[in-house]
Amino acid sequence: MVLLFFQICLADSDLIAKWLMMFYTALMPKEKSTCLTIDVFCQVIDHFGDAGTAWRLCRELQELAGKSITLRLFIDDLKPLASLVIQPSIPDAIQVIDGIEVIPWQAISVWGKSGAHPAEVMIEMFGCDPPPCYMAKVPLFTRLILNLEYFSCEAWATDFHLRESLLDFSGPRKFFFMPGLDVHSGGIMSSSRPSYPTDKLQLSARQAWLGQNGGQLEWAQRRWLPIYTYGQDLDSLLKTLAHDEQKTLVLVMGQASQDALRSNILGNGNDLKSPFTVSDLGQCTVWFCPFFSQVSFDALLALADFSLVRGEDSLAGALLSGRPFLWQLYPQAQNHQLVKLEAFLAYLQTAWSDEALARLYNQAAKNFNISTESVWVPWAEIMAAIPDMTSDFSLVSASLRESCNLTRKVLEFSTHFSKGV
Amino acid sequence: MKEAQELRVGNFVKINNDLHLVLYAIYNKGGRNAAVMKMKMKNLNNGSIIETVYKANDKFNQVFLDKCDMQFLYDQDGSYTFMDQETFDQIDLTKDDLGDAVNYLKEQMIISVSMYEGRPVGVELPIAVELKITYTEPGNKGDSSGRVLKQATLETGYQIGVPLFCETGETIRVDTRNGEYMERVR
Repeated sequence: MVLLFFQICLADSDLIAKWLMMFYTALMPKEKSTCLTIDVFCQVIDHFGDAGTAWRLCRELQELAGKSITLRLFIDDLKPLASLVIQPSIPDAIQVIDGIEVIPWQAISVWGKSGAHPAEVMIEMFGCDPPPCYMAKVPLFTRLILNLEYFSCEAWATDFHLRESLLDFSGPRKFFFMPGLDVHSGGIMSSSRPSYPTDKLQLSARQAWLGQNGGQLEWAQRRWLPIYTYGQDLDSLLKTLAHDEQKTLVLVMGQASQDALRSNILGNGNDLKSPFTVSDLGQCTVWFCPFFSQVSFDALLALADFSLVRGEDSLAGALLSGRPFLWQLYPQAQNHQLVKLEAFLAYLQTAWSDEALARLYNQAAKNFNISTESVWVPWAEIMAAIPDMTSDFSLVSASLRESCNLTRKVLEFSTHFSKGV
Repeated sequence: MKEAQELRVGNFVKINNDLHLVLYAIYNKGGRNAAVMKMKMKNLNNGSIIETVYKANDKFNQVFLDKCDMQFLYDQDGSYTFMDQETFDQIDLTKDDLGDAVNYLKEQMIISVSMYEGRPVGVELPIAVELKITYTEPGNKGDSSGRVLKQATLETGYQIGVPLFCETGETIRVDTRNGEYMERVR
């Protein structure tokens, strides 16, 4: 066989050259790529939180790391992503959106056949389970898996942060990454969020935002109150605002909020044909908003005077805006969300400059989360307390921006891990 | 396969070919209705103790060990000889194999021994054992509350806190889960 091999080689000098090149390439030490590869996995359960948080993480990673990372987003449902990037639809195919490679889960087997393989760092959003055809290759290529869990202010969550999850296969190591507000937690995504403009710039910023998003410029001078909830009955709020001294613009976003407030408005005998986008109720104008991009929504929270928000991504936006807000938590079995609310209120306790203000806020926050029916919150007192609450919330925002940047922490941990530090 | 949330203290799981004993498992509710677990486990191959975290639905290869009832015969030079109650085979266990169980062993006591691939990996004692006090300081008359304790040495050599009314030669019941006095046996 050896003689035959050499006879063939001598007959074909090109073949000799190819064989020599193969041996040379095999023997030469491989130059390690300095570019860190990161795959983010997202499984959409409901609403926009899953896709929204994953998309924000990708945007922030790209913004912070630039060309030092190669980033891919694997997502199992492109519809919410299409809404977030304001496209009528996104084809179910591998594509690049805003510079980020997006791969539908359904296309992973095709993607794998092209020779692509898992990244060095894998991020599982909210503990999702990536498809088996991807996971089968992970032991060969991946060094680090981060389970980016749900946000919590509870003490156990900080304890869990960066604890290893011992896997039953060799290759990568897996760690839990726990978003939170404590400096020892995983933090919250803050790089992409604007903070509120100065008083001098607020009017012009609002006018620009209204112009870009289909609002009426005359609304810029009102008190702004965005509402994005899971469908609270806010009849008492509308009645309070309708009779308030100050004019208010209520911006209602999301199907659940819009359905609930339309019911409130129509239920009060107003002569309106549904669907309507603007409703004037005394001193209060209610605008049923179109779907905003993530960028526009973030800007809105920063321009608002007081917000009603839901879920984790909006909570982070509201906290970082420096403006006061009430947070509606995702409802859990046996009202477990109230435990998480208590932990959040305990975190805020250190920020309050006035005990009476803290009591008012805590009562409002608890009532806001107890039931979707006939929510009773002392709205008049809350509205009157907005200026005082703003100064306390602005300090919270500043503190979080300084020490709780989740994306920066993810990058630092991933980079150090990949370098073996 | 067993999920993390189904694991309990005393369960055995295999991770990376190493047998692990679950020492404690704490369950916490995360977001939505998902849950996460923190577990303390002992690697029975190398003896290391680890604290690790899991999603509640992470899967494990639970290992079911053979359990044999074994009677304690005697100990000599740090080796403890037991007899299998079914086969009457005798095996020797070391102090390391037995752990805290050495504090409660007395001759003819029957314990459950877990075996994995022919090797003893854990023992299970009855919840309570009766042991004689071989020495304790005389107690004061009248103190029958049991709240104040004094040192006592048991027939196994184990030292335990007992109420002041307990005397040398008396038999007491000891909780093997925490090593504490339960009651005097009349």
